[in-house]
Amino acid sequence: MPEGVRLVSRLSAIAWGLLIVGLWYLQVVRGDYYARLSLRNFVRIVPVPAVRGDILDRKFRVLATSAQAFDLAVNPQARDKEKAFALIAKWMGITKEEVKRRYRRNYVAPFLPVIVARDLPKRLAFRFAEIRLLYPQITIQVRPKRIYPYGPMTAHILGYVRGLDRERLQELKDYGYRRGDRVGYMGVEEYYDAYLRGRPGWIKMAVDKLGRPVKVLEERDPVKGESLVLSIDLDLQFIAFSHLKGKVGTVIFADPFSGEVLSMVSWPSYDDNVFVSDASTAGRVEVLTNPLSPMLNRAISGVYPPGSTFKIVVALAGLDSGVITPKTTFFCPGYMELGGVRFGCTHAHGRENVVSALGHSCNVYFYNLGLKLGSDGLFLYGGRFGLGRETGIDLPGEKRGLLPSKEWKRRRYRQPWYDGDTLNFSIGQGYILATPIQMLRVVSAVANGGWLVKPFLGKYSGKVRINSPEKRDLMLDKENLDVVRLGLESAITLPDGTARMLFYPDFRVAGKTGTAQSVPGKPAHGWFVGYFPADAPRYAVAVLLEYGKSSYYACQLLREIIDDMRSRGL
Amino acid sequence: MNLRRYRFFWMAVLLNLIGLLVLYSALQYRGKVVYQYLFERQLMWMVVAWVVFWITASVDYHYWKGVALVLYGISIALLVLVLLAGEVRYGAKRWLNLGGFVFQPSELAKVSYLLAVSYVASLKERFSWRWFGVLLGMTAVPFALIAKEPDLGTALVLLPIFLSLLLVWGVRLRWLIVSGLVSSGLLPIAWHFLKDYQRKRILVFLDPSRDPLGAGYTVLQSKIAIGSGGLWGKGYLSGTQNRFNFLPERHTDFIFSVLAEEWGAVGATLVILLFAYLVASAFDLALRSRDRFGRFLSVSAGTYIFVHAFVNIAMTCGYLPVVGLPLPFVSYGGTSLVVCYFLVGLLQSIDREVRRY
Repeated sequence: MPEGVRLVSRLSAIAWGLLIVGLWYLQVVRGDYYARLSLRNFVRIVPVPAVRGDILDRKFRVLATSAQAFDLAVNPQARDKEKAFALIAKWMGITKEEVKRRYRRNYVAPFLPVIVARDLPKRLAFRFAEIRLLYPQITIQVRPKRIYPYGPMTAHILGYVRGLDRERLQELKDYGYRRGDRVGYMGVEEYYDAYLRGRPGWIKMAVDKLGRPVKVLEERDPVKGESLVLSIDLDLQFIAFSHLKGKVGTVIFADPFSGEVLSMVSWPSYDDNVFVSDASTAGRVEVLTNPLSPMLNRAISGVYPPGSTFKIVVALAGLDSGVITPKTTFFCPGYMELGGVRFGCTHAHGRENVVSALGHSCNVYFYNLGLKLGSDGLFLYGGRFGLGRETGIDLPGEKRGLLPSKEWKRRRYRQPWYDGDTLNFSIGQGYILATPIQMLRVVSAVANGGWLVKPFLGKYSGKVRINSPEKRDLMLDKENLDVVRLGLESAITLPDGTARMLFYPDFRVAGKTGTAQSVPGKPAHGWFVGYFPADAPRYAVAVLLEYGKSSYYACQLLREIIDDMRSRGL
Repeated sequence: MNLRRYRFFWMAVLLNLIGLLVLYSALQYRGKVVYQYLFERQLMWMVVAWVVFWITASVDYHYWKGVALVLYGISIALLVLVLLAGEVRYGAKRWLNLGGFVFQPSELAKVSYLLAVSYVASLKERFSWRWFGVLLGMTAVPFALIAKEPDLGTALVLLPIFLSLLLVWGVRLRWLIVSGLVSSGLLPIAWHFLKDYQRKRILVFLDPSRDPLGAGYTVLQSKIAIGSGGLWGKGYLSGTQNRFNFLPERHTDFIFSVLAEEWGAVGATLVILLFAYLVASAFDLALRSRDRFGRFLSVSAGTYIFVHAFVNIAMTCGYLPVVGLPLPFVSYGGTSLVVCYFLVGLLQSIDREVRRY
């Protein structure tokens, strides 16, 4: 009998031992693991979005700002949600089933109010807010919402703000961006997102089993993003926009000396506000399916053959390399024959020097010059003027264009370079493609005395200068530049100059037209690049009308714009 | 009061006081005691239990020989009654309503069973098949009735008591192991008779992540509470699993999780050692007891406390399936507290008898 008792006693001792071992395994060996699980159980982090910085024009006029948006939310912890659903359905004019469907779809966690309607009209939001004592289930949440007061007028410059998508998240997650963050897409909103976004805050709170907040453990206030000051002049933007509207193309104004972009408009445009608001799905679909691609910023993302505007580069190349002098002349019978093929000119211009050839845009003169320079010479000078590569403007989506070479053609088409290619190249046709901003840069270099500037829009973030003029000396002789300037002025001053339309008795414009052949069977693109006033340039300008038939219409558009500018005293 | 003489009582009181401390913490929610009345009720039950102890300790334990079988008979009758007219709560018929006083006959059945088998076993000096048959029958009837409620956890408490009595009676351990193996061969058949929720509990026990928000949720949260307590614990009243309501049943069956979370491995081990000491003292008393009844009584009372404490703690740690057994002296609940003090009273009475000679 005592043996039996001792046995039972021993068995129980073994059992206690095992129990203690098991307990220590759980608490000490695996303690860290369970401590992590426990933290995950009760700590929730709720992000608090930061207010995005405003975007201002050069005179500090607001181009983009944040307003308050009101979202209607239902508290998941509240009792009698049905009553709230019924009221929401009645006031919003939707069915109760629809409200419940949205509630289920948008439900995230028990501690977060579920948004059933975004971006309520102010009056309706206030009506809901007034009855909050009767309906504790309903909360009106205020969040910052981006607004662009000028919509399509500034859409291409600014871009818009929306929730981060998967692709951008991959790129940005190392920089502290998280899923669901609202970030800039396109325009300066994207390019300067890091400056504009500010620092989001968060609330770390303890929640209970049902996810109901018990207390706030820690919080960090959001920091508002810095304001971004652009070089854009809203008045000029408005003028350019109102005259371009309805035509397909782009108008860019810049300070030729610094590269500051003063206005950049592209039509067709779109209202960037539709991408911010969740309500305007229809508006977004319309923008995205429009065959004229309203979201394309033609100023930097449209590539076109530069046509005769390229002659500025060719003329300077000839003078700078010594292939021609200002006195060199070529005879234009109205065409040039090469290998049995006729390369045409607009008129039979007779004998032309470089000044009159620019003024008349004589193809034959430039065919001859092009042949002397050779494709290598054209490629070399084209490259020096920044063609075939991005200007580095502070906007996403800039295109590079194309500056052809023998090497390029051999690789691309497995064909040798013909002299005919050189003829096309020398009048900006054939393979060459350029963006309007690139051509603006070319003409700016003529206007500013031979400096290749980098165009930019962003001037200040807060009080900090973020871009200073960046320019490279093209090492061009002053005399040669003066000759080309004279050529660009003669396009306006000569009675039969191609841009005669821009003649003002008291004020001189200089520039080069271009009518660039496009796809066979489609109208040509119309170009004008230039600067004014010719003697002391304040503005460099590039106008492009896509399939605009002729440079005539580009000049006409610019004339309207300049008239308007002058009437407004700009 | 002599510390050594009343050691059973003092151990019980110590465990009881620890229990009250943990209970106070377990009743917190969002930083305040929201179930104040439960705490007060437990205090009241403690006083009742002390009275029960005092009476039991004063009475000569041989007195229970006379009433053991009567009590046993009454409790069997009540078990039958509860099956016929019991109140159904949580899908089980365990409660009997006697004019506003609701209680679980299975609690009474456990104690009266313990008294009755100790008495019957003490009648025969040596093992005999006939008496074995009688004891087996005495076990099987309440077992079947309680299991039928269904309350498998409570029913299973009867088995260790039965087995420990057999061992003390002289049955060889080897023999028990063999028959244990044979009956485990019958497990698949038993599986067939289990209720769905019981099967689910066993499956979830084998793999708690199988159903983290359903049946496995309690065990998982309990393991998180215990594990996250670490060596030194999160501090009294600071257990996050406890305070933020992640632990279900934390004032009753899962109170050990609160203890382990807030007091750590060190505190929890100390409590286990206290239980171990109490149980070992009971077995030690059995060795010194003069008569067979006292011996059997000490062993079965010790086993009773051992089984409850061991199964409860192993269950909260996820080492055993969830069966509704309270932690003696610690869990909230008047019946359990009174029964445990009653057993300690028996031990005290036997101890006094031992000292007399």
